[in-house]
Amino acid sequence: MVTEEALVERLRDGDPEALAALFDRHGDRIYNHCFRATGDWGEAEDATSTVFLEVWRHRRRVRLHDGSALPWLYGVATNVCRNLTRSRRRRLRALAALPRPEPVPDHAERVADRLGSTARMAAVLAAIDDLPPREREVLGLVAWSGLTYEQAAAALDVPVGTVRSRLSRARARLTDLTDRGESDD
Amino acid sequence: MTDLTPPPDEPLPDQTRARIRAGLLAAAQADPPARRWLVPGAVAAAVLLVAGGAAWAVRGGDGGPDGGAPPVAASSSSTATERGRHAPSDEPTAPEDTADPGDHWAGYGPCAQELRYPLPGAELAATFDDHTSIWVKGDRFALCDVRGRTTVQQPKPLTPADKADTYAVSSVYTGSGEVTRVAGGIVPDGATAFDVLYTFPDGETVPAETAVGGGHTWWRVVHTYVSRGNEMKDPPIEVTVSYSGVQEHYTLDWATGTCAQANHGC
Repeated sequence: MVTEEALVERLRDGDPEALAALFDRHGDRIYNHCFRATGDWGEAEDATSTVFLEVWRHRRRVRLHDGSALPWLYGVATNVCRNLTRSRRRRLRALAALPRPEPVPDHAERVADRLGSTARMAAVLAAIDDLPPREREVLGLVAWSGLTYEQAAAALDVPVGTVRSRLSRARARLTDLTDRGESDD
Repeated sequence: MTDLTPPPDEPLPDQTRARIRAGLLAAAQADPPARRWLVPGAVAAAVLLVAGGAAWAVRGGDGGPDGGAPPVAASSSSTATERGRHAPSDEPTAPEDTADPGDHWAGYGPCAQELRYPLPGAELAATFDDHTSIWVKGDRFALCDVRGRTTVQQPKPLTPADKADTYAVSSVYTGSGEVTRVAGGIVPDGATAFDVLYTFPDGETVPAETAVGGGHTWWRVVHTYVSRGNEMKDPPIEVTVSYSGVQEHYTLDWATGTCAQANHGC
């Protein structure tokens, strides 16, 4: 199997096939990361495409972490999704209020699944909407995308201690928000 | 309390994957600064390509019109500007439907869809298990193997040629460092005591299995093992074919003999 290091070397040398191979390897993970960041499958598709175009544009700056380009890709994806507009988040809040669609069979079932997952993600994003963006990003990388603290640090280009503290603050805030929500109920 | 667990992961839809991949390749190939920057490297690559081609030709030039490398960089530049949300629905597509822009090279559709371009109009002739099937159209057949990714091999004639290309394997690599090699073909009509043995770089020797369908007997070999990195340094895959008292040996060249797929890259 071609190592990621060799693949990135080819990418740096300007080999378009290496870009395609990198997309083949990591496209799905970036796509889901983008969905969790945007709450919209369509936007996640566009963001995924943008991420890999950015990878090509900055191919000579690709960095490997423990032999993998994935943390760096997550970093690019985080930046791409961060730049999405505020109107998207307003739309997400509106989506979160929508009822889940009734399941229908066959092809429509898949569509319904997608709508269901969009509504669910919108609700999740609405719940963490009060977190500062940097804390949301760490939460997304570590808790949802499964990166280690070290990988998340590489993705965000910050020290590992910063990842730990942001995650810790995010969890504390979420606990606080949850407690307040329950007392409001 | 709101559940903060996001919905489960989903793979990119096939059409979207194909569209994005084609767009990336088109953008990368059309990137003028990259090409200017690449000039010295391209010259060196061209020299290597010519030298490699010459060596390949000297060895017998196996491959022929259908035996070349798969069209990874499919000529889908027109799809680069399309948007996935407006892509055609993923309803089943008949193999004959070649007008559909589709994603035949992307390697994630069902066999019938992936065969649209390599062997349009092909019909299922035989199956080995849930993974491998043989499809026939006219005097040619193609093997289709589905293991997460759908791999359609270059179509071959129903009359097997006596050359290494007949025994070429397709190769699919996984993120965990494993590679799955698949080969298959037709048992020659009238052959007795037919047997095919593949010896892989990990030392395993794997005999062919057979299946009957479409009026023919078919053989298939599948082997998955951990790839140790630069396979060009590994011993080559060796093939021994025995039938009707005759034994032939073939050595599969890396790349030309190990990239039999027609619908996606190696």
